[in-house]
Amino acid sequence: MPSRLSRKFNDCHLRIIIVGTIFFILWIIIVIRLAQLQIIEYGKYKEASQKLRTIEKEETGERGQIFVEELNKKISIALSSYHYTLIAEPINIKESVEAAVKIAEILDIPIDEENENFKNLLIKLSKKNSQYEIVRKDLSQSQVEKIKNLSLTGLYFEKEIKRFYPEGNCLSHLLGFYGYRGDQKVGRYGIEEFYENILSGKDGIIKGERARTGALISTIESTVKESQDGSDIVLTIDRTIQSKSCEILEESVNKFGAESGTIIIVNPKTGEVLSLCNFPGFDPNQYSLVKDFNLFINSAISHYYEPGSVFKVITFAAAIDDGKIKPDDKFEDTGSIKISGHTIKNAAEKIYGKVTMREILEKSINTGVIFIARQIGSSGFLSWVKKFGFEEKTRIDLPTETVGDLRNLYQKNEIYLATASFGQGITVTPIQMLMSFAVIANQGKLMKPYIVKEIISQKNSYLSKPEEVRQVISPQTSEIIKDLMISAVENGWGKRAGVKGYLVAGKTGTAEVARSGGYSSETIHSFIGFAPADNPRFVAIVKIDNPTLVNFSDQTAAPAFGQLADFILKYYQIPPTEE
Amino acid sequence: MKQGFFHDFRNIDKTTVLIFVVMLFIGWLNIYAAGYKESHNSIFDISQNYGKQFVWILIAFVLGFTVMLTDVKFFIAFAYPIFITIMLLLISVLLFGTEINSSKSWFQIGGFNIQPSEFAKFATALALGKFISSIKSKTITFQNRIKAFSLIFIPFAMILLQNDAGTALVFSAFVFMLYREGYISGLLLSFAVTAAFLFILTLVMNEFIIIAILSIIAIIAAYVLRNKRKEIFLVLGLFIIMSAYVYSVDYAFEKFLQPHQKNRIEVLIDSKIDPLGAGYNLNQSKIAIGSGGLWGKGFLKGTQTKFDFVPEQSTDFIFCTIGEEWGWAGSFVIISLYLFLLIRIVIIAEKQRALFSRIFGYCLAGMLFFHFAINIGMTIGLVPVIGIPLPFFSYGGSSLLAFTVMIFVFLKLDAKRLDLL
Repeated sequence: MPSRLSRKFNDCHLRIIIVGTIFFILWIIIVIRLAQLQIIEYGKYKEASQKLRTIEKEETGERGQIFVEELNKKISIALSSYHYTLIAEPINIKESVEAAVKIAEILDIPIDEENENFKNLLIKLSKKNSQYEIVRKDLSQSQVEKIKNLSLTGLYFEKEIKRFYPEGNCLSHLLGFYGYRGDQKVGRYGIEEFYENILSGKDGIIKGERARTGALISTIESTVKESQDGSDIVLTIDRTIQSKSCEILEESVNKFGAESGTIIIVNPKTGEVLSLCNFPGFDPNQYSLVKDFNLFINSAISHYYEPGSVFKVITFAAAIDDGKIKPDDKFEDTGSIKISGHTIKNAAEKIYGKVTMREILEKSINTGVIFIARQIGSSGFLSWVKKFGFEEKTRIDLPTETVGDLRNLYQKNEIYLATASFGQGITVTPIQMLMSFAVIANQGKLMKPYIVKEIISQKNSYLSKPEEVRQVISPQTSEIIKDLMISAVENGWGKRAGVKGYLVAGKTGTAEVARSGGYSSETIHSFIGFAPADNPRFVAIVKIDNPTLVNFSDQTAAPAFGQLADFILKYYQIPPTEE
Repeated sequence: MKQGFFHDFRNIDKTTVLIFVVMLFIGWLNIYAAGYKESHNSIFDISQNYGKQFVWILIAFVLGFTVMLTDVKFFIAFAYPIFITIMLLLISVLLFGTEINSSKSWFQIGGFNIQPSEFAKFATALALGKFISSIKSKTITFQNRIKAFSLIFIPFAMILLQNDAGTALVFSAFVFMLYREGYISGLLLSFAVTAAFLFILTLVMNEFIIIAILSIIAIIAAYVLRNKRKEIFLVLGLFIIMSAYVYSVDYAFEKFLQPHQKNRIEVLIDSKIDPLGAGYNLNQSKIAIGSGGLWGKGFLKGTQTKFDFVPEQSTDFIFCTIGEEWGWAGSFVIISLYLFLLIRIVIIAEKQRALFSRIFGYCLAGMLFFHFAINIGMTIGLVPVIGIPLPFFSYGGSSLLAFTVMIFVFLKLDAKRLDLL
């Protein structure tokens, strides 16, 4: 019996011990597991906890402004403003009705269940399973602050930069616009694109603590990376000349029933662009409404065309610099000339008879220029043309510049030399053409055109300097050509480009437009000139594409130039020199 | 009744009462820390969890006091009526209750929610005590065993119907009492432990690897026992049963568990699965506790819990706040306090002359142990996330009041142990 009793006692004790042991073992397991988490792996969890709590918020750097100078004052022609959109994450909104009432108060929405706006707001905030609802666009800065101060969960703002261009159409091609490429907002076309890296601010990062809902607990912010504002840019453009030239261009294009047109005005001594205008333009404030993307193209630097008779000046300059001709050399015109089986005639099939070289340019006699080009020869002529900067970029600070096409001149056939001498069979861009004329106005030096005068960053500023590309012709030659061009305006086709009391040098051009298979009836009228001829302050090209109401440029581009020159000379307050 | 209730107050086990009070106080401070808001910085602010918990604590003291004033025979005499009443409440909550977190186990009264299933634990402990202590025969018959199991199964099934698997699982805590009273043999217990162990192993490892390991063990055992034919057959039989079990667990896991249940278990194995779903809770909980380090971040300085990273931070995941703000040292104190309380209850239970009292004590200890093990286990990633509160710490009245009643009934039984037989 005692043995049975003790066995029973033992069995009891065993059961108590087992129960106690189970409790104790679990206690040990938990203590060890806690030690693993809190002591051994402490570093890992500490880091995870910090990472979870910190939120990195982007802070956008402001985009630089674009200015023009006027009477030593900077006037902004492209500036940024911020637009805020209120976004809700209804999934994180606890009291949607309460939130709706508070927001409605700030947004001036009547708190009335019958009100359509209030109803919409309430519906948006109550979409419990939604993560993204646009509540309101274009909030004011003060509304943003007020809503932030409510410190409601599930609300945040999206900041959007909007670019404003006060001058509208007038500077459209020059400035481009700030728009989307893919899903990124960048400068498109014009200065905005070319100087994207300089204008755009660098985004910074702000670090702060956050709750799970994403709300930033702003008291513990720190800057990880400073945001940087973009630099400002000052243009060489003169706003007065720019708007006047745009006005004249638009008027001319409309008056002559033309398709389009371009005016570029440059200071020949420095290469500073004073005005650049194409018609039609577009409103960069509403670029998204433009359906035809061709409208964005800056034809002043991108459009290549056959220049026509204005190119005769280049032929003359080459021959005179080469010593092949002198202004008073004689030439017998028979009205036509035969080259490699082709017959080339003068414009309007005129026969001039015995003329001087000066008269050839004044009257724009094709046969005479062919004679001159033949004196230079094919290869000599090509290298002269290239020396004037054709078939190479002017390196103007605008995107999408093209170079034109001199391919025909590389061929041995003399017919190409002949046509090129009066500007057919080769293509050039308006800016190339203008800069080649600036050579004559600038003692034979080719300059690089530029639009940005100054870049101003927060720390320092950079001033552009005029850049000489090369000496193309001697100063003496340039004086001779200048003299011939003055005659061309005074006695020749360029009469209507003249300004009473001033010496104006220039040349007209009426080019035929090549279409596949030959020349069409379309023409491009242009006039390039500078004034005052003895001390040129500006050189300008007026180009009018396909005017339908008038045939020759002496009636279209030349008078437009005259109007422009008259305005600029008076604007610059240059006293008249002539009777 | 020569000895009035003053006698009972003198005889009450003061250690247990002290631990109880200390735990409630620390628990309250932790709920304050977990839900602390600068705009509501008073710990008595009734609009916040911590203010409400203060009210619950006051009610708990009143309730404990009331229990001490009640004649101890009342609980024994009314064990069955209490049990039946609570069972009726469990049925009516299914019909008229409010659904919170997809479990239909709450009555809403005023601003407070009452959960009858919390009181079902107390009622079941009373009924089990009454039933087992009333059996006159020394041996345990099969019939009685079935009856005892049924007393546990009925509330278990009804709570399961409320879709509250966590609370239902708590009823398995009665095994400690059943084992102590001989209703479960050691063999059965070891079977249960082995089965649980293999179950978890199957979820963690490929079932073929487990079967391979089992066969190696079987081969070694067979070699050792090569001269004993009977034992070799036993080993072989066990091996076949275990392999089949492993295989069927895997099959059942894939086939029968609901996605969210499966997810909770899978997440336990690899918390990187679905880090914003079920794994999110566990990950956040581990980060909160782990980042507390050895000494913790300090009172009210916990960031993970306060800024809502940890879900249910003042109820089921309250231990995160302890771990985060008080570190390993503070956690060690709390869980040691628990172990101390459990062992204290077992010791007191063993002192009882009345079988009813001992059974009740073991039920209480088992229940506390189960809540403690599962709740802390889940916050530190040892067991799947099962939503049961940590007694005395988690915010909530039902659990607190239910455990208060159980503790004080037990202390009253203990104070009267010389009068009871």
